Amino acid sequence: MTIGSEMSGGVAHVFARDLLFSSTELAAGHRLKTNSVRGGYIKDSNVFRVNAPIIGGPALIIDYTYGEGDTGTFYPEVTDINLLHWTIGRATAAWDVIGYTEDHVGTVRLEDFTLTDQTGGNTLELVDDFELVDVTIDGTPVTNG
Amino acid sequence: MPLGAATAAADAAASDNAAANAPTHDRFDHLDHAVRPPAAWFAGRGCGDQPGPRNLPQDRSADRILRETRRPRIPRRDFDVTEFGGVGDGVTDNTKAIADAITAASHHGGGRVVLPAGRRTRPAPTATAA
Repeated sequence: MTIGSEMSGGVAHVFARDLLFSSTELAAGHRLKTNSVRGGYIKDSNVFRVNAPIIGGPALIIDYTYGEGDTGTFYPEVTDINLLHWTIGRATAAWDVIGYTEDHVGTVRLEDFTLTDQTGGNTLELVDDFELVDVTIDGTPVTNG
Repeated sequence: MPLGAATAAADAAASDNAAANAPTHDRFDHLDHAVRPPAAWFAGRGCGDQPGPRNLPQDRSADRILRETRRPRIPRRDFDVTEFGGVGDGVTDNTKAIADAITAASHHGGGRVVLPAGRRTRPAPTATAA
């Protein structure tokens, strides 16, 4: 479930629910594409009750270095991103979230989120508020990024 | 969008997708993209409710959006640019005629701006009313 990258105005109040990711080659579960060339905001995105046997990439990607990276002047605002009630069999990572030094990613929240088999590592850089509630990865409860 | 064009666009998108070689399931191609498929379409496709609590605040927000969203209704009214001074001779600058037709459509609550067949000149794009 991807938002962007051409959203120079902004996207808010997105609700996606009861999803079965039947593809095994998805680049991400929820992906937000933006950078300082594209600009705009993504606020209040909610993806909930998700069943994903296999995701080909991370469950969540918010990467400001996407595409042209930090070469523009339109600093994106990404905040209040919620992944609720996710059951994932296998994924390369649970999250890959990278902001800018001068423009952090805002609030990101994972709740009741279980990833049984994580094949790679998580990345968390320059995020203001990263909340994990009831998150289990590889059978182990995880309370911070 | 005509059905053929929609299918071509979907095929183009699919060829860009790394998952294009994955087993293909039944597709939406034969359906009007503006219309939600009938409930029967989802039967047996593993779609539908997934595990987890229901009636979340997010469910209520989503339900409210569904209730309050209507497909746009565009009046069946045409605004012919030639009635606003447009000339299809390949020479005349029709910028003002087209802008005026769009403005008139907007003032009347919407409609269709029509450029009859012909050769037209319109030098520069301009901002237009919705």
